[in-house]
Amino acid sequence: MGKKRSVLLALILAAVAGMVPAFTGSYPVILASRLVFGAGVGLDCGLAMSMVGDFYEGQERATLMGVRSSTETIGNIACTTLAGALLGLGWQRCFLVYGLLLVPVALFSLGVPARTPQEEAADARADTGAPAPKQRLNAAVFGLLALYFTFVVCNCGYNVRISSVVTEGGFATATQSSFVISLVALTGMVCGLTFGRIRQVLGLRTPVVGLTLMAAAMLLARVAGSLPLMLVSALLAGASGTMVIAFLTDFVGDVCPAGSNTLATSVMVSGGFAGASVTPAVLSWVGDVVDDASATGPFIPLAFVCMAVAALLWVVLREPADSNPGAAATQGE
Amino acid sequence: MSTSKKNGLLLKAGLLSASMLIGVQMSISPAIPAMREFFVGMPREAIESITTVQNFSGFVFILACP
Repeated sequence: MGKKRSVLLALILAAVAGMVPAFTGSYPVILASRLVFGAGVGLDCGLAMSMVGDFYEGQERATLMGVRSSTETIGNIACTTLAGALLGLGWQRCFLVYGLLLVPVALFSLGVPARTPQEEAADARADTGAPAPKQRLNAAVFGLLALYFTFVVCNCGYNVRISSVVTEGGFATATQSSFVISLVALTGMVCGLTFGRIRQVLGLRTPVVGLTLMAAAMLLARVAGSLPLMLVSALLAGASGTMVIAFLTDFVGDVCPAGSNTLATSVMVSGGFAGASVTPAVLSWVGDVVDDASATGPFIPLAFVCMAVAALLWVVLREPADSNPGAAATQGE
Repeated sequence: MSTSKKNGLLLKAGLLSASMLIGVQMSISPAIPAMREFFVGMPREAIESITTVQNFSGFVFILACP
């Protein structure tokens, strides 16, 4: 089918399935439509990330990975704010925001060539009869996968609970909570736009700083007694999300076996999906373990997990003495 | 602006816009408190799953065709 057609199919599928809950109040139908929506996201996600790597490399790739992450955030801000506004018409109308996905459908179909350089190389190989190189994974990719999974559970857990934290705490209404969520996204966007610079300055310490910020955001949300403190917490969470996710999606291209960027990116993305899909169950389980049914109940244990992983990365990740961050490798490889 | 520069910018815009879908997955999370009021008696995680369950099919989809 080719990468371009696959991405277009994914976007259209997600736009249609995403809007279905706007027209039904049936929980099973809503859940089914969300699963179809997820199939579109799954199809799009790995391709959207790996295609940046197909067309660009080096510092430009790192910069674009940060901007790509910001694009997610722009979509998030636009849709979350619009969903908050539509909430006044009933919660079901929120789902109409997925109609905005028709914008990327237009841009992608106009701007991206039918075949990527990798696909053209594969076509040339097929013409000469040369076998396609087999993509492989290594231990470093699996290590990053574990990190990605863990971080997504914490970050997604924060995002899932934040509107409940704000409304249950009486800091704001559900509609106003969309602005807090948008602030998370906005901070993430600013970080994404400057990610290339952040990556240059912090190097392999980027995820350590990101995880520490996530822990701080959760602890602050737990103790916050006012909307301003919740906004500070949202700022920290937004910065953290982009720093860690953009770092991992960029760094996996440096440590995976040569020519295996697409497979490594797909595996990383699947780890993120797995983490996000189990997040409500993890939140519920952690809440039960600490015997705290409040919205912020799981935040303290998850903050400690973030700090423990940050400490581990501080020890494990080492900058090679004579190279730039882009050529860095994990210690012991 | 030259045609090649214009095409380069359009390529970047196209590639980056495709990532918008990843970011909008949980945009309906502000509706969670309202959904909890609508689906009376349902556990909190069942309602929260509406905003995250798509990740499960995304995960399966990626594993099925990496």
